[in-house]
Amino acid sequence: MKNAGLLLLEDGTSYEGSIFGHVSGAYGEVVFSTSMTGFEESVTDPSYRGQLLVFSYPLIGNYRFTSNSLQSKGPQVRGIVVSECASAPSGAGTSLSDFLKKHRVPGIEGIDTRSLVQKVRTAGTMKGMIIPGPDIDQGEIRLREMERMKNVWEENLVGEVSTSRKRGPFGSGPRAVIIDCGMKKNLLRDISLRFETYVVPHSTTFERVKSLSPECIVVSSGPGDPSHPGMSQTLTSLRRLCEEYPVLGICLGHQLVALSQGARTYKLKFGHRGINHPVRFGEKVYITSQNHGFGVDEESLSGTPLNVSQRSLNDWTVEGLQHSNGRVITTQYHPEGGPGPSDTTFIYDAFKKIVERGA
Amino acid sequence: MPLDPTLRKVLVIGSGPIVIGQAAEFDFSGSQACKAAREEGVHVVLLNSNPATIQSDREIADTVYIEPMDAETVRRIIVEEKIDGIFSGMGGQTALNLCSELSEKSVLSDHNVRLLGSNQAAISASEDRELFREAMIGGGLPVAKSFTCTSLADSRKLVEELGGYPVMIRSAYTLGGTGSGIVRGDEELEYVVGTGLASSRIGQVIVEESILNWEEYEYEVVRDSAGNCIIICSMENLDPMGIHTGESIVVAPAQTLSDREHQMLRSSALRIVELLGIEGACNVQFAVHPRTREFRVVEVNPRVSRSSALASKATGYPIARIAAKIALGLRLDEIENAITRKTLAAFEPALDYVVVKIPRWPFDKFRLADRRIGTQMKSTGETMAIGRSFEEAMLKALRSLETGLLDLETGEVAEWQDSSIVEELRRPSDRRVYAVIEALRRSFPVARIRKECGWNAFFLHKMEHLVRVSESVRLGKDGALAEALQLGFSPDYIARLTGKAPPHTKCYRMVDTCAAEFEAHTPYYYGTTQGVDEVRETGRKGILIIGGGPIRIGQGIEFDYCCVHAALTSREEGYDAIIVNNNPETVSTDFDLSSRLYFEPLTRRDIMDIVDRERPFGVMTQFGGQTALNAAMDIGREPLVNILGTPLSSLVLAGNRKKFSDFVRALGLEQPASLEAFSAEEAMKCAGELSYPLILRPSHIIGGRGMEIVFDEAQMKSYLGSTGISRSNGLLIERYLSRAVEVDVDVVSDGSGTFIGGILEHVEAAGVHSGDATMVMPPQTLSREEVAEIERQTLLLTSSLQVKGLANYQFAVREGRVFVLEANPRASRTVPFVSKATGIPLSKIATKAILGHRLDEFDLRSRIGEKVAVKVSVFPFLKLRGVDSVLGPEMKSTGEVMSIGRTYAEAAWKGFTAAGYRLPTSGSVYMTVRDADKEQLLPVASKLMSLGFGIYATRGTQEFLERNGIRAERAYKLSENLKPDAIGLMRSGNVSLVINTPRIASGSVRDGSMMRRVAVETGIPLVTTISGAKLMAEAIEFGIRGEPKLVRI
Repeated sequence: MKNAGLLLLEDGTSYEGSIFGHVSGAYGEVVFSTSMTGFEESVTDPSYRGQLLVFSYPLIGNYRFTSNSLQSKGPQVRGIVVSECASAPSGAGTSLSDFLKKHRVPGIEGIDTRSLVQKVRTAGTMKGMIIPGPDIDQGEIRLREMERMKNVWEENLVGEVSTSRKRGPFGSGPRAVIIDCGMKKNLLRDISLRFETYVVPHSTTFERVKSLSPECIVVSSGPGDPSHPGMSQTLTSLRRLCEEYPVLGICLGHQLVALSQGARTYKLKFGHRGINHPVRFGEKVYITSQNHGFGVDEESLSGTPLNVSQRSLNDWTVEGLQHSNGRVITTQYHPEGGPGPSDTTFIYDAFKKIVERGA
Repeated sequence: MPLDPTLRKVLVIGSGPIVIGQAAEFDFSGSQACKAAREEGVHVVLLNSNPATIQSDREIADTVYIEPMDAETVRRIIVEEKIDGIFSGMGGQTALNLCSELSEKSVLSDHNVRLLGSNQAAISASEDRELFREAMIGGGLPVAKSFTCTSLADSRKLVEELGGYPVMIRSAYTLGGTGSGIVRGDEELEYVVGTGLASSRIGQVIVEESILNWEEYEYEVVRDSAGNCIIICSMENLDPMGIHTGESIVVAPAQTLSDREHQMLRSSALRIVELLGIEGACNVQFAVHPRTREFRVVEVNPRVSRSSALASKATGYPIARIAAKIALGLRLDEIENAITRKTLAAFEPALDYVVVKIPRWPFDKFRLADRRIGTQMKSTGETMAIGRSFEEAMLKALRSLETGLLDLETGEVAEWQDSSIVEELRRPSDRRVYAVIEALRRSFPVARIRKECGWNAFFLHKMEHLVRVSESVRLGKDGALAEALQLGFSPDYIARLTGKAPPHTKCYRMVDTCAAEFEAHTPYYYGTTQGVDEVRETGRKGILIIGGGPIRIGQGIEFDYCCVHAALTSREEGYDAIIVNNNPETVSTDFDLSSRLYFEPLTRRDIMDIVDRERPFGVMTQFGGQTALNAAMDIGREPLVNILGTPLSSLVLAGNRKKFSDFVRALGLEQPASLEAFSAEEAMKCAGELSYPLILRPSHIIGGRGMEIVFDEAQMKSYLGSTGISRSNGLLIERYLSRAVEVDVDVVSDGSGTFIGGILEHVEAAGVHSGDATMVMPPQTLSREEVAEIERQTLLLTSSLQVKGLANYQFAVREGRVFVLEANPRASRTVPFVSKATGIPLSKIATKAILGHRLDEFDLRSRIGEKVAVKVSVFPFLKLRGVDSVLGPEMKSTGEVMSIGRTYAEAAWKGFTAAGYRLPTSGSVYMTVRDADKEQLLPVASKLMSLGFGIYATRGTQEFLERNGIRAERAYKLSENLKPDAIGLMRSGNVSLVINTPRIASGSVRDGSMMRRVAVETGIPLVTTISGAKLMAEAIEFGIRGEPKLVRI
């Protein structure tokens, strides 16, 4: 086998495969996505920071792509796990394998991803390692190493992916500030289509945000645990921002808004990752793109000004919140797609109406 | 939304007989609709003229009508049953067109009947080319650009505007496509636009952007009345635009679309369905430019379809069932996902496998037909395969076609010159996939193959991978064997390459709609070489039921009907029913029908792998037609296999013509004299001994020529010249009993007692294949003694063959003597017909008998009473050019209809009408019959004359009629070059019925075939046997004088 490799899980299970992309090892949280398209968007989505992403669909990398579809500068995952990475992809551009190689990220193929998904579904997400050829027989040592390692979501992941300086303005319209916790390019595209948009680091203070004279705030998606200590400045700013401005929270942003209003978040067993998630909003059902490992604890919402406005039809978890002031709205899913449907972009328009009404 | 309480009784309209383009998929969808409606407490009335459907079982619908499917019949059902609503979208184009007609004639509004699902406006906007175009343009959706012009000069400018050739030219307001076509250059433009302008009533042609060879994608959409809208599946056609999607190899989900492109098409599909206001299921087709990635909306089907059946089986999402619930007013988030039982129907399935569909064409039967494929469907059925890789799914699909070829074998294509391969890639027939394999084997570069056939290089590289690995295996390279097994090559194919089948392992994984994200409960499995087995044991004894595979001529929906009964009955008896089949259209592959469903090829090896996994208590092979019977022969002696029912030895005996002849003779029964020959010389000698006419029956009908009747030595020689006859491939030469009446008998036996389900008399004289013959039950011309003798012989054969379960016999009766023609110890094509005519479910009773019940436990009283049941076959002549419409010993029909009447004439009228014959009430009849039939023509001619018909006849026939006092106008044969000739008369609309019995009843092209072709194309009823003509005259009389009455079955 070319470039033999191993995927080792913290419970000791191992899967033999072969390494593609960059031949190296990687440690991360093993999560799975059920989306059948958009591998390059997923790989470059900052919300996957620190993770070993398993694709349940067995044929990945079927087409070549250009930088247009990337959601950030490069891969955010630490590695990917697939059944088969296409060796002769269709179309023009870069192949997934070359892309990973260039960015020094390993992939492992030849893995029975269905079994792996079933494992993660029942046992929950776990630590895992991609181990390249020469070290395959060091499984025991690596297992002990892994035991000592921090869970990925305990790391300050948002700090790694957030912008380091203010950027913008992009687009035109009422002025919006995006608090970047690991924003996808598609979110910036969708917001800047409707607003004059600035992007600021996640730890920007309330005053600094205010000094930009925004008419509204967008809190982006991003990786990891919203209650991580690294997010405290964000929460502090958000408490004030929610009082003074219309706020739209997306994914991690949704969780941060909830935390800032006194609710709690919790880690989901294996998260929601895919582009086929049904959400009920009022009388209608929408298919949404999702990528999150944490959720908002519904019980903890009592006593806060937040109400559940949307729910997952799969497990009835909270998918959207609305502040009693009517100016703060959130979605747990990604209306911006990338990958995934754009069925819920009306959320932006609704948000824009709120902003314009308030002005 | 709660169910509407005013909806008490609904009508489900089926799709009628199996024809090319409408196969078993609408039995599947209609049955799901019936079940879904009854679950909601609604009374279901069903109309279908096809008896071989599960939906027309009284367990599935509350009230069943097997009647002609026309507006008048539906009107009468509406009145009689007080129907509140009609499902428009469950019975294919047939049902949709009927609903449109009913709506236009205001039958629906007059009787306060609602269309359930999409309303008439939505249907019209989807079906009417112009309305659809307008709606798309209005909604900002791209359709092929098109402009009208009135001069050649203008058309040249428009070509430039469209970016050059090719372009599509359509002539405005002409019928039948005159002056239309793809134009590739200036000269062609001049010609096509010239004729187009000339033939257009308003002197206009349309210059349209050509999307030929663009990539083709399909989206299956479901939308509810609240506007919730989801995509069930995307599908990618390997063959680009220009090849009908029913003729394309299709992969699901789409493989080569980026997420952006997929979302662009997905959003467009949702928008289109919203714009048109469709409620229920809808199929949307797109064309995508291979380089620029622009796209165009091609068309929509506002109903469940062949594609939605495929999408249902590919994803596990029961589209028809959900569409039916939606039609009753339920919302997607009010319907449970029956697979996970936790989630709701409002989600989009995620797959973790690859699905490949390949059509099955009938050209092994129709050797003279034009095999080119294009915008019109010619395939009769399809097969689907599931694998963890494209390679695995492709190999399995190729094996499932049952062409005798395994995996990458290409049959005769392997012998072709390179130039023929290129021609095949460029102008495809059913053999394109083999040409692709062969081209790769000959190291044609992928880029070149792509250029010729338009397949995406992604797939060609995968095919190349397969070819490379198979070559490595053949050469015995290191590691090749392991890689081949991993890719999904069959060990039997490997054995053909290396001489030895390697040991292998296979496991079975679940189709669960959600890529394992949630726990699922569907017992729906596919075999793969990758991963871990997921089959759930139940501890109950399993019965493995071998299905029928893709629908072909000779292997239709009847066998699926029988398999479904076998499965349901086995479960009723406390066993696990395990079905193996690979036809995505069928009811038998519905996920909740069996205890476990294996979606797998039906080769010996694939079945044995399942046997190894399941260790079934027994295997039932008598319900799945020839496919299952072949399986019985292949696996019957394996130690793990216990064939249930009739012993294997009897199957072998009945299948060997020589042994069977000896057996029949030993029983003291008569057979037509026959001899077996193993060389051409021997055959000529035997023919001399037996004397003509003769029926020739090759003992193995695989790919080669089948049965034929020869009337003289010249024909005999020509037959032998085109048939491989050898020591191992014998030819049975049998005396042809002219003028004999042929009879089919279906029985069920418990091993000691036997029940004769029905005796069916063929209308056409012996020599017409029983699958094509018009049949009537009970017999109309046989004497009581003859019937008694048939019964005696039937019982004798049944006990001697130790039949347990079903058997079918064919006899010929002539002048009081009964001859045994054939014994088939298995379910026959006529089982559903007999069951519906008598109300006795033969396949169900057979299953119980096989499982140990005695016949005396059942109520075997027939409900047919004084009524008469008729079966009429339908033929694919219109779709398959080059196939002569004369009936003979080779089967040509794709399906059949049934009718029940108070009299023979009424049943015949209903039957012909249901089969699509436009029975005339006035006009002229064109007659040209062979000498032997002239005497019998007299009563037919005089009856038609008395009904007011004029008669045209060719010389011999005319003179004979005149001599017998029947006035007939002279018509000329084409070769006589005089007017009026047959074709001129038909084209001018003077003739409303053609009676043409050719001198020789056999299949090849000869005089008269041109005339028959015109009859087929102009839709003029054509009868090619004198007995058929007699019955048709009776039916025509009933149509003029009688009053048909509905019969509930």
